[in-house]
Amino acid sequence: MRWMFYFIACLFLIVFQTSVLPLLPILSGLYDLLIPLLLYLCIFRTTREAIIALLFLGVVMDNLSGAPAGLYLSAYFVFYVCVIWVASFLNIANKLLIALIVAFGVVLENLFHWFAVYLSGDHAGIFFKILNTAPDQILWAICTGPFIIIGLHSLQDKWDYITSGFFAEKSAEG
Amino acid sequence: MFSKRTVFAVAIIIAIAILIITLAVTSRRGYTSMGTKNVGLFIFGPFQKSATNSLNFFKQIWYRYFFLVSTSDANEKLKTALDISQKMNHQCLEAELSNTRLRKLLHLEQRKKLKFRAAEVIGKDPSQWYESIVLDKGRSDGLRKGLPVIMHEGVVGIIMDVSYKYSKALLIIDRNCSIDGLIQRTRAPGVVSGKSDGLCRMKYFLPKYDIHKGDVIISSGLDGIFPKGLRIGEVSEVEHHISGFFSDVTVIPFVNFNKLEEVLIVLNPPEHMNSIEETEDAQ
Repeated sequence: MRWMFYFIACLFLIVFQTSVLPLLPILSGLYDLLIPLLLYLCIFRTTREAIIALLFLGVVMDNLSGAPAGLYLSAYFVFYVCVIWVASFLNIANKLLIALIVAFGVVLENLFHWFAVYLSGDHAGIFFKILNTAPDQILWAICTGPFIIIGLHSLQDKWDYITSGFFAEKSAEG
Repeated sequence: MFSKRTVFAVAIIIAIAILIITLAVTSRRGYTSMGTKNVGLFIFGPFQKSATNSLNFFKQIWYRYFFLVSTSDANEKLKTALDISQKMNHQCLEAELSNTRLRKLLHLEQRKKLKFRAAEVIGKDPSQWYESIVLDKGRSDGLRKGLPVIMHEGVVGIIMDVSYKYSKALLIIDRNCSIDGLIQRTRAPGVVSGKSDGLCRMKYFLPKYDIHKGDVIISSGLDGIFPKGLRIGEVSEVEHHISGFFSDVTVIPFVNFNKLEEVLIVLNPPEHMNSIEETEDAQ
């Protein structure tokens, strides 16, 4: 049932950023909302759960985006490795650090986009594109990242409580 | 021989290197499909469609029943615009009829009737670096990779990935999308492709050709994807370089990509017309 929760969270975030956000111009500078989800999985879940979710999210985002194949998968994987490395010597469950790590994830993903665009041969204008998009996204990430992770954590707790109660009732009836 | 930690670190470095090399190769090729049978479109397409339909429902309620302040003014303006359009339409009809007569006289091939399929935009690219849209029509509606996507304002893009019920289109403002175009006034050729700021540029445009700000660019039909004569955009800036072979031409597309809701997909673009006609003749 835990996987069901991850799937619903992933579904909500992807549908929100591909179908709802384009209709809200005020939020047009928002970052990739799957970065906080990935960070949540890195901090609070097991390595196995995080890696399976990472692969799924990477493939889905590569499918839905016009980016070169493997861009999101690579960005998420490198982000995951960096987070695991930082977690080996820092307590990353701290809210301030969470905000900084989400912002780092945004910068990392933008660097991957920049790398792919640069390799495709379009060198003109990408520097200005970074200047246009990255600061807004970093600001959004610092302001909202910790809240998304706290929200996911409390929702997962409630989900686990409800599902465990449901299965306990079923087994008692059986 | 090696500690578990060292092996793990080496494995991660190799994995990252493989991913970056793959990315470098795919980036140079332009848009390439993941080869994962469009799992994203298949799983998330229905949910994107439901979300878009629900939002459009509330949007329509707001604009049709509550936000009617400017409707009266808009109505007057639209009536005036309709009068002008009707006059122009009449002139166009006359021109078309005379064109048909003259073509017959010259034994030129008649323009083929295009077949369209309307589709609704149910999702947009999650990144701000690439420009693509998800449509609610797929293989079951006759769509396939490489079909042109248009609107009454002009060219929109090309179908890039198709699943059974949904598809993904690359917009002309994306760097990986190119169309063979020409200046409507002078018939000077060039290749129109996306830029990084929501605009397009005309590449390989020779400085010897006459071009002005405001010139309309249309599709030439030579790329075998887009039918000839579709409006692409308007020239907004021209830079002639003394040392360069080609001029830098910036183009503003006619289509407003921020307000894209419905599009038309051409089911029988030029390259397929012969085979379609042969099939129809055989039937």
